[in-house]
Amino acid sequence: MDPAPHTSATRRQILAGLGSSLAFVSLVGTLVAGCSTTEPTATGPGADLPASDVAAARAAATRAGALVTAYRAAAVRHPSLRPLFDSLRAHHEVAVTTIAAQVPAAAPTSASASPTSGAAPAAGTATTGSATTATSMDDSPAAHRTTLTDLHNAEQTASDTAHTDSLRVTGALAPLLASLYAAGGARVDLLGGYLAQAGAPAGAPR
Amino acid sequence: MSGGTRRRRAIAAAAPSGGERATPGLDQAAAIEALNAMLAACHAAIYVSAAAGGALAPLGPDAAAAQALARSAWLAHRELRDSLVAAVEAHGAQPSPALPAYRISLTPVSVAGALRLLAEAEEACAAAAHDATAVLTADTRRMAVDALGGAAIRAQRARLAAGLPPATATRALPGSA
Repeated sequence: MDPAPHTSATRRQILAGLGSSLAFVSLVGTLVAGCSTTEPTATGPGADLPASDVAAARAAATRAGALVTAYRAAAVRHPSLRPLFDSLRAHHEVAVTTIAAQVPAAAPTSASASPTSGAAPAAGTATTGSATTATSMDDSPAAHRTTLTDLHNAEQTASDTAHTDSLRVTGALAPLLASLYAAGGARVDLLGGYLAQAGAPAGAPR
Repeated sequence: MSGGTRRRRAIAAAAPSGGERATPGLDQAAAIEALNAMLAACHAAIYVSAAAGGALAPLGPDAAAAQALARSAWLAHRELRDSLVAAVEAHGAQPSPALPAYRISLTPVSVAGALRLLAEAEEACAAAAHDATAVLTADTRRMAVDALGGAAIRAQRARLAAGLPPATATRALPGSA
């Protein structure tokens, strides 16, 4: 058995199960050597980005901010689904933070960043009507279906937009937008499962 | 930071936008390397999904859902592998070969173990695709972006099928840190 190459601990090795999957880690270790990352640097990628990239990053941050607001409202309205909505809200908060770190010029203003500010959804983000405006608690199946459908559609729209933008931006920003697209697609998949459980007919969202 | 990472950051900073054609030289070399990194991860995922599916087969109805996930992953990665091989060859380069075998992190003797293996393989593929988008353009970048999206969903499905709650089964930024 050949040992895995000794490198400093990385996220890739952790993902692959460090030390227990030697050949697999060898493969992943190769990937590590080929990694670019999205972490900001002192002269971060945001400093040299073209205006179109900054605009795409800003739009992504605004979309994520709108979904933070939507999930927060949904969690209040549907206590039984709060664990789900809180975890997905946290994803969008990570997205906002990550975008701002990589592209400081895309950081939302304090007003629009506030999850309770009522910021308008980004262009390309469906308005999650019931989730964003309703404050009364309602854990009925019908209310769940309505909110899940709204969030599903908003996630789908945001993910589609990130996909399109990931193909237009420079290589400096493409990994982040691609990741946002993938995260959105996975959330769409997850919410679709909850919708099915809630009794929504197949293909109902959208 | 490794030399390779520094070089890729420099390349990424100078990379054309996704709609432009790759230029010869460093961009071309970086694109080939990124595609081959994705291909290597894909080969491993094919092996893992086949191993998981084979191990699940005798476990009966309780393993049916996991077996379906393994088969879905196997099919998806075979299709992606063929596309990646074609893309590498289109660059005039030699595609990374599959290894005869891969040492996996655990023997998939249970449904939970098989699902964990499947998720790990998808995470490695997602990481490769994520990083590749920095140096790829046009159709090959689209291939990487779509591969990342597919891997993220399959990994999440495997984690959910293993019984993880959404809070730990989902990822804020698949393929990234």
